[in-house]
Amino acid sequence: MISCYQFKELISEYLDGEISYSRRKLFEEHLESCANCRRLFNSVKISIQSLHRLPRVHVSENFYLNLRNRIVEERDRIVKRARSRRLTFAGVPSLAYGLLLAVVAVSVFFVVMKIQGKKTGGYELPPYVKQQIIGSGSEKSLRNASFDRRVAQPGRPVNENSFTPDNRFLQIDTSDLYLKEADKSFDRETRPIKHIK
Amino acid sequence: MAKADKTRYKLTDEELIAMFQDGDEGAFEELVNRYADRLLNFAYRFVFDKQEAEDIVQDTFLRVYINRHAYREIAKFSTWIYTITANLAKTSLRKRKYRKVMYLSHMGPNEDKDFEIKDEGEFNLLEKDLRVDEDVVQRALDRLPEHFKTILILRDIQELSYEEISKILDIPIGTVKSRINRARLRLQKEISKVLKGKK
Repeated sequence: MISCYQFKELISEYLDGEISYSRRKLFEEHLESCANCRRLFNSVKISIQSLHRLPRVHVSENFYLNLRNRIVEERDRIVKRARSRRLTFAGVPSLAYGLLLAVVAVSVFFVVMKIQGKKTGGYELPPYVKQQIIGSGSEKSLRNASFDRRVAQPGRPVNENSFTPDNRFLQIDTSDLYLKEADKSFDRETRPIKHIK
Repeated sequence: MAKADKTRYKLTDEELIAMFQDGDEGAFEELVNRYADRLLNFAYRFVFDKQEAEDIVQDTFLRVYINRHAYREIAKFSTWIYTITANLAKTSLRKRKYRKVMYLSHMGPNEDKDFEIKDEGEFNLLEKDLRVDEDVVQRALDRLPEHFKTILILRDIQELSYEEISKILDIPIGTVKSRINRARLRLQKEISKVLKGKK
């Protein structure tokens, strides 16, 4: 004998003929003896029958024509999309696009730089510097001059003999001398005033 | 070619789709003729709107036409086409439910009373309810959860085998059996509730 719960679980298997022989016997025994389960069984049977009896619907007359039109439209759309892809290189991967763009940018940069260089004639020295170089008589030697950093050691004078004639950037700082001269003239001018006092 | 047209109806679905994959458009037409009504009934019981159901079936055939090369003979053609229709029907139903929710959310607090049916006691259909009209059954079907509704339409309206249903829904046969049983038990309850609400 099976329980009401087990009976409930087997209703569809029984109605669909999917139940085993031994289980079917137990199911039918319960069906005979339990009024509640019998009511439930009949109710399920009625609902299945009502589903079977539902009227069938058929496609409308213009179904096939509409379908054909939609297929033609879709086919045209696919062809158009394929054509536009061919024109816009949509099939080319984005990495290739990136590389191409980088190459174009670099070459444009070089071309622009070259054009600008020709127009200005390169970097030019200021005119007063040019004059100095021409006055010194040796533009070449100026270019080749080595910029030695000579720092006077504390307590030792700078050896003037160590300067070569080419080394024109190293000049003796004479600003102090001028200052002293200025001081002297100042002293000369102030002295008579002191005298008056 | 005329001979091929005459013998086409003898071919299996799988042979027809293979011919269509090789470029025979006539094979596609034969498949449309075979499945149009079947799929329409399936979709119609799902959405209960003939125009919407026809659109779903047309979308199904359109997808078959475009994705014909996606079909592999490892599955039955019927399983493949029913799966497409079921997915489209479910999407359509969800869209409609969303629209309904949006509509209800714009209604006042007491305006949705007609949608409530009291759940009282045990419901059983009696012999006198044997001839339940279409509207009641459809309303009861609509009240079922989506997975119960799908399986009942496939089994009791489309009359597909447990094995085919198992493949279409991608669930084991054991689950198909138990789900059909639970869906039927729920349906009889829903039919009697709708009948009680009518009286």
